[in-house]
Amino acid sequence: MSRLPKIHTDGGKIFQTSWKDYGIRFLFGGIITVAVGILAKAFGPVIAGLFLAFPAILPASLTLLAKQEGNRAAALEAQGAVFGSIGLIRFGLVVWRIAPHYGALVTLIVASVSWLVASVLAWLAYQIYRRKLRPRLTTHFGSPYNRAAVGRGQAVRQRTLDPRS
Amino acid sequence: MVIELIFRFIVGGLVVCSFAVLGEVFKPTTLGGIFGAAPSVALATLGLTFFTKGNMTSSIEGRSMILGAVGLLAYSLVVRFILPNRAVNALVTTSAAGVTWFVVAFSLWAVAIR
Repeated sequence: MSRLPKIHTDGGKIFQTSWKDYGIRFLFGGIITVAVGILAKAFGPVIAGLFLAFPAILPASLTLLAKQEGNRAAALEAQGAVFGSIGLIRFGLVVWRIAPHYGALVTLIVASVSWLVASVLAWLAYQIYRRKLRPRLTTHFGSPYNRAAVGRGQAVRQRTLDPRS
Repeated sequence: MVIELIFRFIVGGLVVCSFAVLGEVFKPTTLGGIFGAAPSVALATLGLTFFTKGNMTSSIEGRSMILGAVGLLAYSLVVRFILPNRAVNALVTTSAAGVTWFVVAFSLWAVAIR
């Protein structure tokens, strides 16, 4: 059973990323925000709202990461985006429910905090499941696949991307 | 109109870059990865919608965004499981997986709120 990963920051990373990479993100971010504005004018807020969670920047940043650190690193980032998406569902829910009653500032601050809390909780829940719960489940009960493999004396392949993630 | 679009472009680009910086700083990678699905476009767009169209329109956009976010969840899962295969090209995979988003988001829209 492994320990939960420590959350830490690496400020030096900011300067390792080239200006070109930030430029690409700026470009994509600008374009999608303009596009949502145009969509809202053409089709109304119901359709435009869908595009508030359109994967516009994600393909760009994943491709950049895959180029620099390989596909597996990019897959880890995509896994993180899964948790971020769960937070985005919460963000949309909060905006939907409280925007009619409160101003822009309150709504967006509460929604952003909700996004962060929901995303980090989803990430944490997955870490606890993977490190604490799943090993216990597989050793006590054993999945059919694992039990058969262990019975034959084979090493069971870990289906994880990176043990440090 | 043109000035509004230029303003949108700059605000959108800046917010996206700020979240990208945060995503780089936080470790481990899967935690930094949550910033890949940060509400960057949403914040830029909703902030402007509040001032130009009012609270009710923002609320409607928020409701649709829930469905878009479910699409993004599906998109991220697809990319996460396809990408580790060494043979695939990252650019092609991440772009083609966009189809997942369209299918999920618009199916939910057709079923739930159309």
